[in-house]
Amino acid sequence: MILSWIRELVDGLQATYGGVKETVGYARDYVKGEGLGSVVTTNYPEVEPTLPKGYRGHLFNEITKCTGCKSCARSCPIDCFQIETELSEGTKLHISRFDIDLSKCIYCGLCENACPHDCLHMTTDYQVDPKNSVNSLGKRYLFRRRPDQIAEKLTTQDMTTLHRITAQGAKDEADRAFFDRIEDVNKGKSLIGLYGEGFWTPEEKAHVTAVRDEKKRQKEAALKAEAEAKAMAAQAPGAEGNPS
Amino acid sequence: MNFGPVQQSIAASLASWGVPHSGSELAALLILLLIPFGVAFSIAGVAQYFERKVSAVVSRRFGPSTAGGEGILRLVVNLAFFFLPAATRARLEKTVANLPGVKQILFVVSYLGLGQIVADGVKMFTKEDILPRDADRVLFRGATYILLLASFVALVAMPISQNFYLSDFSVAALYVSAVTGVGVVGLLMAGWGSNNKYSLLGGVRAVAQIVSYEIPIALTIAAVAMWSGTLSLHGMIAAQYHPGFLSFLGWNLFQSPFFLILSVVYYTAGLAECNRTPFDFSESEQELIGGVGTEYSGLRWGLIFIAEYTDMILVGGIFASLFLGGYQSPLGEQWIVALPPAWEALVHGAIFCVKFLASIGVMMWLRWTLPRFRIDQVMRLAWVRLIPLSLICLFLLAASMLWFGHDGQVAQVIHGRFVSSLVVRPEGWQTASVWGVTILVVAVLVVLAKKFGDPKPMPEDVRKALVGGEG
Amino acid sequence: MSHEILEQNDDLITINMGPHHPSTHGVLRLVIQTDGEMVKTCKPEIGYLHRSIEKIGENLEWYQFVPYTDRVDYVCSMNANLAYALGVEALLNTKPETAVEIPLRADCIRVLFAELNRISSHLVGVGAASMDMGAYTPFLHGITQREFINDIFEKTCGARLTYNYICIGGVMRDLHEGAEAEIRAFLDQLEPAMHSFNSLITTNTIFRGRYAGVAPVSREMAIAYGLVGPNLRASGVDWDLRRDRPYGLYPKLKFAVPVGGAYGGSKGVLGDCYDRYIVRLLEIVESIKICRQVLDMIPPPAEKADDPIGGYRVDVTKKLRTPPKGGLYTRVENPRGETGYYLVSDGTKMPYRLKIRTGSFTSLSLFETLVPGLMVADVVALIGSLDIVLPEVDR
Repeated sequence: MILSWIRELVDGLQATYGGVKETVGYARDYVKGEGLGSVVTTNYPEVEPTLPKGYRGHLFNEITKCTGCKSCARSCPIDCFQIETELSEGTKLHISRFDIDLSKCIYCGLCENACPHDCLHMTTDYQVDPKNSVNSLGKRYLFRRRPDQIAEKLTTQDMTTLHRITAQGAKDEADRAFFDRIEDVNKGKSLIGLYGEGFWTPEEKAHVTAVRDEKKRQKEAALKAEAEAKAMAAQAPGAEGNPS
Repeated sequence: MNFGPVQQSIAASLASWGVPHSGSELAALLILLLIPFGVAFSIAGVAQYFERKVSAVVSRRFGPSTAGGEGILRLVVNLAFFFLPAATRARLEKTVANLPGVKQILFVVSYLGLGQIVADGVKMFTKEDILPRDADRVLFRGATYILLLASFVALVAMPISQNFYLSDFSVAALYVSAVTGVGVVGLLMAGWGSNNKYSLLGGVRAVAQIVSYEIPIALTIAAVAMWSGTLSLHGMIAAQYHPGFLSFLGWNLFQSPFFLILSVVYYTAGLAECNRTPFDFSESEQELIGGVGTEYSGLRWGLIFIAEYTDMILVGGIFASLFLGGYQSPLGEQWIVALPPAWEALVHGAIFCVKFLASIGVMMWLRWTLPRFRIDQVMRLAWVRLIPLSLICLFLLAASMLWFGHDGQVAQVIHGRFVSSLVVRPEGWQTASVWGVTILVVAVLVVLAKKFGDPKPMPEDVRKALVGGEG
Repeated sequence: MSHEILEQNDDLITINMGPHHPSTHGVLRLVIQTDGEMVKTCKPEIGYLHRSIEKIGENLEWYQFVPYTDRVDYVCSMNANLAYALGVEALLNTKPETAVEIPLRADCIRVLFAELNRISSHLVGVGAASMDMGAYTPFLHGITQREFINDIFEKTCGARLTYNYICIGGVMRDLHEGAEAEIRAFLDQLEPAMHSFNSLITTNTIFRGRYAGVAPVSREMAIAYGLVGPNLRASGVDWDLRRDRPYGLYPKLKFAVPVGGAYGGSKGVLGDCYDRYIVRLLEIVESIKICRQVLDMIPPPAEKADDPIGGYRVDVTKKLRTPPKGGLYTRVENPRGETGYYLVSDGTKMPYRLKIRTGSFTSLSLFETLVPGLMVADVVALIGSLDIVLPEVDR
């Protein structure tokens, strides 16, 4: 019994000594900056993390390659996509609206996987400031073309430049002006960005509300018509299976 | 009541400015009492920073590294020019930030995270003072004052140097041990008055722990008092005086092997008194959120926190006084004693600070190294291990003193000054023989215990898989 | 509120270790009645993290559900993905026209990543358990190693927590450039790191004193309450789905299965908290061995001519639109035990019923019988040692 008493005391001291030895080792490594003890944290935001190439960050769609097939929208488990297409002259669909709600997105990458034309990518962007959602082009990103641009044909030279700008970013003022001319940001377009009231411009809000109300009205009208048709059919003398 | 030459000199200068005599002594006393407040508050603030840094170093992080910088600049500008309108202050801040050299200073401050100290202080002062619903107002508020009182009143007895000290009473060691026990009342008040079951549990546990660990502390103080022949802390330090270059040989730690064991006992008990890991069961975050301090916020929490750090200063200071020779330096003490008073006070005070800061540092280190005990294990450690151990050491120390014929008589210490020719100690061969015998006996016991103590060690292959070949 | 759950008893203190608590590993509510420090009754209350994942699954297509399986147990989401993927593939294999054959490279990558995720999940479990005991440092060292694993995963699949990587038919992307060398380097530095971790905390007397002999679960009790995984093995039952009901690449791999054995010294009892803790640490060692074997087995990527995708996936989209009808239960060895998916298909592209069986749910059922008699501090030790993760419990 005395021996176990002594042993417990000795064990306690040994535990303390062993622990302190380990942690002193960590401290020594910290000071020297090597081995198991070297610091692994980075001082964000002074030091930005280096993200690997395949990082699943914000989505980016090269709208010039996009055909409007909506495979991405179908594959999304959360339904963050709002895509509207119209027929235009020529064989390609005109994409009048392509919005991804990044606040709903879970960044799973199923849409990127589903895209058959390799135009939807996940970038290494991860920061969003609600007031100021700019992307690497320095502009609020847009995926929608104005309806009156359906008629404008872009030359091959224009297409190449546009392709380069969307892939690599605008290099200088000329690029930015070119992009503005093609896409004209200032008139309030849809944005890849956050959801919320302050985010929509008044015209967009009116448009979205009008579209939504229209759809609702049509659906209600359809339901009403169906109900009326059913009621009429039930009242009609030739109703089947219904002994009057 | 005599508070020493410093109080006399402050009283004299006050009297020379026209303050009446009795008032001057009181005023000097009050001025002197501000010193422990200042010391405790500043050490607590800095200690908080070092606590974070130590934890960061041990866990491979930076720790506080960006607190400060522009925030400090904004705080300073806003406080200094509070009378200006907000827009002017903002512009002023921008102008100051663009002055040459300011950015570098701010970078250094923020890189080391020194702004954390300021941030912690500001946080303490500006958080809302919440009184929980149905909490007992008197108990809740009074608890912080009593906790603070218990720690600060004991701080008065700290022996800082020969010429500059706050007090030198003849029962200082007993006084400190008794007064810190008053903190128990504060803990109970906080635990009950918070109207929170977690606080109640935490308070009850803390009380049991503190009351139990006062006994090994008292026994240790009794042992040192027996050896030194006095209960006064200044006297115990004087009894450890050793002329000659290697003045650390006079320290109690080296005088007797039982003091070595008792120092470990005292340090452990002191850790438990301060509610530090591994004994921080009463404030463990994982179970009790915050122990007695759960419901406190703002400055009230700050006061509890400062009381805890003051307790640590106390434990460190008494540890140094009992076993490490107090404010004496390890080498060449006799020349320091011969210095003029102001220099002597400075040097001795600095040495004392180093010693208790080192012990606080070790306490912090242990916090990040060891897990915590459960409350019944804490009680076991106190009653089954530490108290019998300290009793055995006390008994064996007394036996060795009887054998030496050493009565422990130290000549009267007058105002902390040493009277070197009157310090009586056992002969060198007596000390060496006691050391030798004790080391032999302890080694034999440890070896026997290791061999026969644990009936069921971990299987060897499992142990190897876990900790590698060296084990 | 607490008094509604338990009977009013004026001699005992009713403590609500509520959903907001630093040590309940999630949003778990435990209402305990204590006589001072000893607990007399305990009633757990769950449901705070219920997200109706199973119901959502009935409205999504088969392949769209994979990201949701990540969130069932986000600490080890690769294993959760794997369970679902294997389940659906087994369903598809019941008819020859929809049968799927997973290429060897995909199988290897699956097992490799599942085992790496087992290591990182056990690091979290063991680290959090030691942090509950007041040792703040080992947790962070475990997390550091986990960050290295997360870096490897990030380079391959782009995410650090909810990977959505193991999909039906294989894996989503191929291994990144230099993945194998990186994983090998990581495993080489993990072994000394685990030795250091263990010398800091596992062999520490104070820690052993907190865990040894606390809340032992006997063999019979473990089997009766349906415990699985490391909790079951720590009680002495030698049962591991990877070896006894093998799937994927496991029949070809050699590894030992650690079983509890009262490792806690003189106070240790079979099936106590210390055994559960040690079993997880030993499983990390075994997983390192498995990873090394798999790294030696991975075939190179397929040539473009043979396989347009690259040998890491087969395209199952068409087959998933008309899977065979029927119900099937598949189970895999999650770090937390047995994760089973009961899938019922009615032949359409959406499942009819998806039921997920998780190990933490059954572990939680132990509480009412096991906790009375412990001290309040031991309740925290018990939760930590059982490695309960609430999203798995609530789904």
